Amino acid sequence: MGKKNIPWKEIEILIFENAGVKMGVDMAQVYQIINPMKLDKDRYKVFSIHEKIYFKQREIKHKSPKILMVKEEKHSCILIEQPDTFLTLDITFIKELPLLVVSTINSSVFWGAFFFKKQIILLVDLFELVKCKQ
Amino acid sequence: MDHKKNKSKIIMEEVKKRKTQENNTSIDEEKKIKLVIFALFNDYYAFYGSDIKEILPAGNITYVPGSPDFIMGIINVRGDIESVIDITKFLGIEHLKILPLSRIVIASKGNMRTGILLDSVSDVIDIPINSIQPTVSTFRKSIRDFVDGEIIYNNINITLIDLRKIFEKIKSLTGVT
Repeated sequence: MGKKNIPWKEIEILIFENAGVKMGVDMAQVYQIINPMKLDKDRYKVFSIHEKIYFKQREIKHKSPKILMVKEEKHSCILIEQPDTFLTLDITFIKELPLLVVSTINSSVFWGAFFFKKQIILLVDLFELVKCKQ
Repeated sequence: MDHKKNKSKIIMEEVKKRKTQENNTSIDEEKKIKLVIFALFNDYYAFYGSDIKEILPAGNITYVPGSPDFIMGIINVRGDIESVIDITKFLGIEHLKILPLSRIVIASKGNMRTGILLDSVSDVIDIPINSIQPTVSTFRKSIRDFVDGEIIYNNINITLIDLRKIFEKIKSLTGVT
């Protein structure tokens, strides 16, 4: 069997911050980013990341919120806070999370991380996040 | 002639005797063990040095949402990501804060590897293995399960913690294999 090449060398990332934690999403999972005021609330249920994943007692600031409409998701969308940076990330810079963390988090929501401006940015799988139950 | 033979025999017996004494001394000197001595809330503890791979300054720890309480987060160690645990959660002592002298030791035992936040690292010493005494202090059950012995060093009581037992506890709590 020959070596299988993955089709992506780069991914487009949106970095945002919830409760002091910097996270990034692959824009290939995002259909649209909209202002919360423009959401059709009769059609979509919106939830915040901290409603799906336990954030301890960290302060939720509700600053500069935006809605991520997730591709192929008909009923739910995700409220994020403080989106601030779009960047193109070479996949060779993506780091795996330590075994102890991966084994103990109660979901597959965080799939990796990378370094940006001396900070660790957690990569969030929106498809997994939508399915997640806290 | 016999006297000369006896003399050489006597001398060789003395030489062999000295060599045996030197060997015994070397064997005793070899039976030393390295310990990393650290502080947690004004008490002193130690890990086996063979379990500690690095000692780092305590930098920014990135919290990972959804992780259990004993995992403080993750850190960047020369381009790799390592977890950091709060060992006080297992020892049943007060919650740890990051202080100016705080250090993160990277510990590895078997297939488990993680950083551990400590108040400070006081010393790394080599001590004779027979100076590790069975525990005589009265410990809470929470800490007793992880203690391997006690040492007196510079007139200070130091509790020796076996990381293998801490990691086994983590495995039993989390299902990590």
